[in-house]
Amino acid sequence: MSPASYPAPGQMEAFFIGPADSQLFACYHPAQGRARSLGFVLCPPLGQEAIQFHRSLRLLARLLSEVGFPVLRFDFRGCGDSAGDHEDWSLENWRQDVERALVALKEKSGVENLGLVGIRMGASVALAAAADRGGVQALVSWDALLDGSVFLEEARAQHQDMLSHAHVRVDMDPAGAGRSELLGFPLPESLVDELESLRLSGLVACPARQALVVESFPRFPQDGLHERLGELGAEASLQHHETDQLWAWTEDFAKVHIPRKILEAIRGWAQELPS
Amino acid sequence: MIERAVQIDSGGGLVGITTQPADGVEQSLPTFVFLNAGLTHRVGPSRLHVRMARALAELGFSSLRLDWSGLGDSGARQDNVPVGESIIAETRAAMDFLTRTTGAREFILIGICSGATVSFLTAQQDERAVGVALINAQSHLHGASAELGEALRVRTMTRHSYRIALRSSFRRKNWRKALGGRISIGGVLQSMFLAPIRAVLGGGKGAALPAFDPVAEARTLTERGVRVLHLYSEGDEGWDYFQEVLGSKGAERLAEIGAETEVILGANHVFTLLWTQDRLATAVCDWARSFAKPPAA
Repeated sequence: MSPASYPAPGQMEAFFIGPADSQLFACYHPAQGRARSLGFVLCPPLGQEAIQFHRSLRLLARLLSEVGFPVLRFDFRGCGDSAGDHEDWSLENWRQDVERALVALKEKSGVENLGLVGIRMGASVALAAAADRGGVQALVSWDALLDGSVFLEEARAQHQDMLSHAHVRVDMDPAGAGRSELLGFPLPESLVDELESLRLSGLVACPARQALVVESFPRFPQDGLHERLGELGAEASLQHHETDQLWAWTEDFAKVHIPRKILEAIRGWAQELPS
Repeated sequence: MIERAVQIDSGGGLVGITTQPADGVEQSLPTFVFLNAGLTHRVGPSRLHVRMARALAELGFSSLRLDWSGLGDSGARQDNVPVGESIIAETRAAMDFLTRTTGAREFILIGICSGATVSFLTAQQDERAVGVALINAQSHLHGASAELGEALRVRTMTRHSYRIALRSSFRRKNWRKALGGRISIGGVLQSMFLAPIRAVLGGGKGAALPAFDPVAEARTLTERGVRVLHLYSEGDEGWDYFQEVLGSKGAERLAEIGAETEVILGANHVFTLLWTQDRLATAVCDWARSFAKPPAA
């Protein structure tokens, strides 16, 4: 733990996890009132989605901590305030980051039982990490990338749409065309390779005893994941919360869409978990 | 490079990240303070603040990426201070904090969009600011008049629509979109013609502007020795505001009082394309280098 960790007002502590060259930025929200024995680590989406969703993740952490769950949210390696850059982007690195975040949550809170909430890329990583390590009691997967190649196809289409609508000139790049980029972020070829082989239908171990699958946009159907989790022995439920496209790129950073109903639904599901 | 999470107790519980060069703080160099762009948290659009803070650390500069109260990870204020005042007070509190904890006495305020405007306004009130890097700034060169601000907003939007359609490097792309039915001709006509006509007919807001002196506003900083850099994306409305208040020779007018201006052609408001991010980071780092004092003879 970095020696420079400070308690922040509002019952939140911002700090770094791990050694400086690979440190992960994290915020810990201690449980308010009577603490439960289950705590959650929140796994954010990637790239522009993470930036647009930051405020919602903070609110989700607050909602969960207010009803007794200690919560830790963090930035993946090469993302947000964490060390590194896009060259560190890999599903394997991020699986390790989830593990480090879970350890940090245990250290901070002393909880016995661990839960994960993952959004988009964060959900895919959380599912894989939980299946690998075992011992995760509860998991929320929100619009996970079930098939990495479908995600890439969708994201590239959004990038092309941005190129045609935004005031940008890709042809004025002095280095010439051909950069691999996606909506403001580099897209390393190594990550493309990993994503092209990502299939959550191939999960072979049950990631968590209790699972909530959230689908908020019909173009990212989550039924397959729900079914697979059931086949693997999880007590899984699927909730549809159709909302405006949360994951669409926008140039307007004066607007933030907070899907409060979904955040509250996740809190409600967590409150119903067996203690 | 060493990064730390810090908490600044200024009534709102501000959270930030400090970045220091790996080989220690060079006390003769000012410290950069990155301010929020819109509602984006302290990492900035496309993580640009992180990238620039780390690049500046390579040059020996320390920095703080700050979240104002209610943004990012900072707590919300519990008092009733208007946001226009609180964000300046909090920026100054961040400088106090850095002075207390690192000994920093001189600062460069840097921000994109609203962060740029607040950088300028804070520097007007705080003599510890020795530089401001204003990226896509607007609404900062006409004083505090709301009426003037509204009139300038209409004029800026009209100028923006004309420039993008007729004089920008995006014009061919946009006309192709218009002819292909992919943008609303009605929307374009609205901002180019109808909005300014309505403004004139509806109370004269778009007609005559009260007298103001944008160069004098900038001079409040330069005459104190504050280095001022305006950086604009070609696609940004801020560039139209700049030309609206200063005229087409605005960059030259500001150069006469020592302020620098640069426009990054082909870039949008948030520097989405990687090559435009490279250009922005290079421009900021090149400008920062000029703060290094030459070694004593």
